[in-house]
Amino acid sequence: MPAAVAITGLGAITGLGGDVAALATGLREGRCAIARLTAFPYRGRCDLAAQVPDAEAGSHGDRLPPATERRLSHADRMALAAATEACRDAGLDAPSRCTAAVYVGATTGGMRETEEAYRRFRGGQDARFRLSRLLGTPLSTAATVVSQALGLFGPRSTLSTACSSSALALAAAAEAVAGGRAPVALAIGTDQLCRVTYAGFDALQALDPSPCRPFDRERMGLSLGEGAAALVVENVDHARARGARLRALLLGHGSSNDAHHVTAPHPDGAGARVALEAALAAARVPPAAVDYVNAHGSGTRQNDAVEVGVLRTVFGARLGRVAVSSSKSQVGHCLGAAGAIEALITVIALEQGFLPPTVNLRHPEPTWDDLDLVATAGRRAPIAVAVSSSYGFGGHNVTLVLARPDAL
Amino acid sequence: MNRDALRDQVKDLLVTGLRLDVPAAEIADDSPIFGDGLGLDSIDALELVVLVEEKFHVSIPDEEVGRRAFASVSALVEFILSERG
Amino acid sequence: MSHAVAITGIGVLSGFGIGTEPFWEGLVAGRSAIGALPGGPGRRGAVVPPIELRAFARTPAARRIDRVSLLTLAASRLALADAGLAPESFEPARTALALGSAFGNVAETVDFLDRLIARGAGNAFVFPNLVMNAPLSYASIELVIRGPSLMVTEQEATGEAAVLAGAELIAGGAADVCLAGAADELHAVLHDILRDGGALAAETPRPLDAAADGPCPGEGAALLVLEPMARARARGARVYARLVPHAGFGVPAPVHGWPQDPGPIADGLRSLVADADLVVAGASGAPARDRVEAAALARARGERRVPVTAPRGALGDFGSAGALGVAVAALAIANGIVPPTTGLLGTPRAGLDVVGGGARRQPIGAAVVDGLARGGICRPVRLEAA
Repeated sequence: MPAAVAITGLGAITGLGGDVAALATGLREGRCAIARLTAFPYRGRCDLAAQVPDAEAGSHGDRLPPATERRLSHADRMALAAATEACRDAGLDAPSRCTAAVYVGATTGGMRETEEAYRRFRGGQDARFRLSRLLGTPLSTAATVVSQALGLFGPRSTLSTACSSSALALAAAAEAVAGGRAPVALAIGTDQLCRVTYAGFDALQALDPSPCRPFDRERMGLSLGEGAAALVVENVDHARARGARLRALLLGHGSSNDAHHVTAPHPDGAGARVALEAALAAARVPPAAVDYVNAHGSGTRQNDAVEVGVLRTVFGARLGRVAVSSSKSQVGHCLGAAGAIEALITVIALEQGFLPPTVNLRHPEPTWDDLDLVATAGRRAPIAVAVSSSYGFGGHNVTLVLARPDAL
Repeated sequence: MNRDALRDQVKDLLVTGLRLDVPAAEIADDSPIFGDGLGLDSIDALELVVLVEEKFHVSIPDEEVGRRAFASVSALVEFILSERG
Repeated sequence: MSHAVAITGIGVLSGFGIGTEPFWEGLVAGRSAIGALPGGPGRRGAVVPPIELRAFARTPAARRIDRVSLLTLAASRLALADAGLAPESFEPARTALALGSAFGNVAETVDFLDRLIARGAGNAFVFPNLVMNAPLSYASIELVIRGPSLMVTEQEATGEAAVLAGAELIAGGAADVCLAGAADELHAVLHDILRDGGALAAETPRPLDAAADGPCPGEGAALLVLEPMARARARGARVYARLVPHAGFGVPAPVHGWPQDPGPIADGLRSLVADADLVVAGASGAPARDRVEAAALARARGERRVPVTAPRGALGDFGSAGALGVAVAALAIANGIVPPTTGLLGTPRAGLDVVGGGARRQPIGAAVVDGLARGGICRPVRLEAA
């Protein structure tokens, strides 16, 4: 397992705002971006989501031909907005972007636009399928949009493992630079709300009719969100040599497969535990050194119970002194983008010495009274090492270990 | 519609709608649909509600009604007959 | 530390049938798996024959399996049998899955949308199958695989990308056995979208023929068993070929289309093709693709004449077809036979030596699958005789 890699640039667009500064402010203020769903008409058991307004994702006519720009999906635009901010933040000029690798984690891609085109055909508004409206359908489009717009011609890959997709993308980016396959890599997560996922989770009765409340004894499920995050990753030496500012270190990562059920996590969390322990081992960090856990914390009855069980097993008696919070309470569950968004939030937390809250958490399960779940409001804390976990449909688990640059 | 024909229809619906491996004729009339026998889970329960509502034009508005209706194949047959008046 | 990667098993489902034998036999004989599709005149494509679920799926969970996941699982079991490996012999944590699909579960996504439009409600039963990584879930449950696993999607280069991801896992020592490959299904809606977009051949696809008017869609799956070469030799496995890891690269291109300039592609392929005895091209008969691909291959090979074969003419065009292309390269090396490209009538583009007519017998020391995709993706796969 390679040594630590540096994170030198950040970009994000979420329900809390159009860039990293807006996200950081929203985290500090404990705001909740989960509100009434307006992206498309839907009537079901739930009508809430953490949305990113179309206008927020911006237009990118300066970087792409008009015909291409017109055909970008919302997911493509958000990816490009985040990637552009991250490259600028990392101080990557055109020549240094040329050999950069791109790893994208996503689950729905241009599905919202695809649904619309399909509905128009089925409803008779379009006599034939409009191929031009379906160009954003392939999931790998966002990676291509970012590559072509920013001139990134190193290795390129799109990974799709449900809710752990962009955590896996960040791990892949780290492996690529550590293995010398590219001098710099961009890890991106992007996903947009669409009818298929919204109606699907609603049909599974997995959505909370009120804004999600991870770890709460009354929790009823998740709140869907959308957004994108981008992190620039490079070897520490490479970053220092070009005078880049190190924002954090990615010390290690671990992943596993439950091989149990297509949706439900393994009840005793064996896979999640393997991912967490493997990540800590790869990072050469003992559980005792972890200050903060940015949990998967989706707010479903099953996940949160299993996740707390895993944390108890790994952190033991010390768990009460490890802050644990779920950012899904603020930005919603951004599916394929969640891994990257939450890793980025963890970097902000480390950088600013601030624990983001689990908002909407009023009463944790009685047996979790000893845990520090950072309920309602965040607070200052000098954290140095943190962990971010993502658990996907089908039992695909990924844990990342992040640290302040001075932790090396 | 007589009970026997309806019972066959319900069993066929279980097999085709939930993609079961067992032949329809081998599904017991009075065993619990959601017991160990057929190996069904909560996702199957959600789907069965939709399939039964669509095919037999009845309404299963909540979990309580569903629990009674799906107690067994015979229970489901009685439920459909009583709903259709 | 970098282990040499061996291909020890191949499993294929294609328009030629279920199994590697009908696949290879059909290709070598110069046949085409493309035929009339049900559902109206003028629909043509290559489809896999019906698969008997319980021939390949053992667990209760598989009751709900979708077709792409089943194609993947079936190809996986065939590949494992070919490699002489029983799933019971695995160490779950040391076994990996590197899978891919370009469009995933099209059939059930369409069903889901139809019910959503008609009823305004989603379908809980089918929804878990709609995630792109459903094949990963089913394969890991059925085969009890708990090691590194990932699902990639790269449009026309999906198959190559999945195989390369698997090679990376084995080369880096992350696993002792890796199932790597991809699957895609053809669905009437997908066919009609392409047809309505004017993107299909009028009748027969003619890859690398200057007069080609488009591709014909297809479907299929190819999975390879990859192991560290030392381990394969130690257990006396039959090794088809050695797989050389490659990180891939990008070239300038329209986001939704094919590159215009063959130069950057040629630059990236040159060292791989320099001493190759065979190129398995992804060319499909789509003029925009074939044009730049042929020009790039011609530039990359320089003065040498390197035989080229393009199996998408016989197998149909689909995102995962490159995995079947890698299978072609491995079988070509192992058997010393290059299957012909179907549909070639006139002069091949760019003066390439495209193998047409009948199969060609020749020793093959190294083969390259070029792995191009829209948007400037390049995922070349190099195989060498072991």
